[in-house]
Amino acid sequence: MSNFNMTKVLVLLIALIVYINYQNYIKEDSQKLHREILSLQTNIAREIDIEKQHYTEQNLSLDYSQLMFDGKKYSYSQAMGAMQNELTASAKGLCSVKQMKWAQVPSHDGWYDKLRMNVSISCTPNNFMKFSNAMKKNSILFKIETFRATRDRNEPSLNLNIQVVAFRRHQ
Amino acid sequence: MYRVLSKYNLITVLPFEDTFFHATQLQKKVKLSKDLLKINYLKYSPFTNPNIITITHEQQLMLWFYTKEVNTPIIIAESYLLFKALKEEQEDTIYVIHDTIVKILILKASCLVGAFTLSSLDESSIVLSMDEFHISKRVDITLQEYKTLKFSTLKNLSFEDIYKANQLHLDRETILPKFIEYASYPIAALVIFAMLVSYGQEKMLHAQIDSLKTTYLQNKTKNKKIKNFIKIHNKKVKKWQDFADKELAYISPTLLLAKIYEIFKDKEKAHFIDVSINAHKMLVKLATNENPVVFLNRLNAIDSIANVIIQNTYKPRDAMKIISYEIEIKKHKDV
Repeated sequence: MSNFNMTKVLVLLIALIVYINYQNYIKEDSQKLHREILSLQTNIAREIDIEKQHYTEQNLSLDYSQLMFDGKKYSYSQAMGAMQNELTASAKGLCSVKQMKWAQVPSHDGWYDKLRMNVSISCTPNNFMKFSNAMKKNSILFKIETFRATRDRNEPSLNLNIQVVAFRRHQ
Repeated sequence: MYRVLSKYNLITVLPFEDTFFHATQLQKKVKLSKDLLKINYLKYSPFTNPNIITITHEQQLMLWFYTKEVNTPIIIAESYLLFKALKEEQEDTIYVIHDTIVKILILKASCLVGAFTLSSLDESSIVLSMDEFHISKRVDITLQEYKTLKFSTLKNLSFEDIYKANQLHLDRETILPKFIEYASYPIAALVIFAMLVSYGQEKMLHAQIDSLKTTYLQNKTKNKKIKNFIKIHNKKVKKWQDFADKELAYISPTLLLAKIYEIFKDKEKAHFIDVSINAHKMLVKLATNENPVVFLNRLNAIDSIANVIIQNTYKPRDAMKIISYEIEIKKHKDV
């Protein structure tokens, strides 16, 4: 040890001790800081993107509620009545309605009810398409859930049994 | 590297004339200590109490004896530098270097076997050496060539060369104090500098993070209201999307009928007897004289349906064939 210059050894040791302590206890993980910067930059870019889109309350309003009967205005019975009227009006001059049968009152689960009506009509294929298009023109959505077409021998018209479904929203 | 080492007075190249060279063959690779070398090889030195530089090249042990007082930690013999530059030569050669004194370097089988100086160009000594080592090739090197050779070798001096030439000096007792002597302040300064740079970088990153956080918060506050609208809008979209997926999953029966009608419309002899559609299944019964497989292929080609099967085919007396198809309807998302 006598060969060592003790001042220099001491300086080196102190420097190393300070450095090791700095590395272990003071220095932050630079990777973590870079990740934080990247994350903030991404978030800012996202905010700027939202700003650039010029969203407004108007262009974000989405309303398909007219597709269903409003539960506040229509009870089950009123909605079914309105549905029967709409279907009769659509079939007018195109198909002869033989029977319309209401389904059971649906149970209230979810945010809407399914209103089912079994309809028996007689018409030509062409007129059935017109009847279907007339149903689509209504603001209320009518969906044909089941369909059966049979033809009597030597009869031009088809016998059609369809189940039409409309929807009544609670919210 | 040589330039840096010499700048800090860390290396000495011992001139040709200040060293006495001796080469010997080792039977096996052994680690030789300073004392062991002195016991075995001091007898070959013309000097009393000399210092020794050794380099082992393959099985050959090269020794340079010198008496000059040198204070640098790294010492390398000039004749070794020349040997390093010329050892690639395949032929056994004697090199005569014309400096102020004549320097002779003898290479045999890519090993340095002799290195000595002559005060003047003594041809008889050169011939004698050639005879002694059975060498027929002689190469004369001018002073200019010699300087170029030496300069390029010094420029390309590697750590390996330094280590090889200084193994004897590099024992723990001497190297550590020397290392501390030369390197403690530079290392301490470097460590402190690295620490300060790292700390400065950290501060800069923190400042950048703070600035980004402020910008982000400003933008976030500005967009808070619109983001709320977007959230409500997305909720609504999800609600209606779920509704459509559940209630309008399959193609409308009227659209499907229109597609199927296209297949049969040109066939005057095909008449629908019974068509029923129930959620995801469709049954078609028709009367025709056509091959049922022809219609089967056409039905399978419609994108909204799949797995068309012929349930049965029969032919009533004096009437057309009755064919029943069972068809699976695909969901919108599967089309």
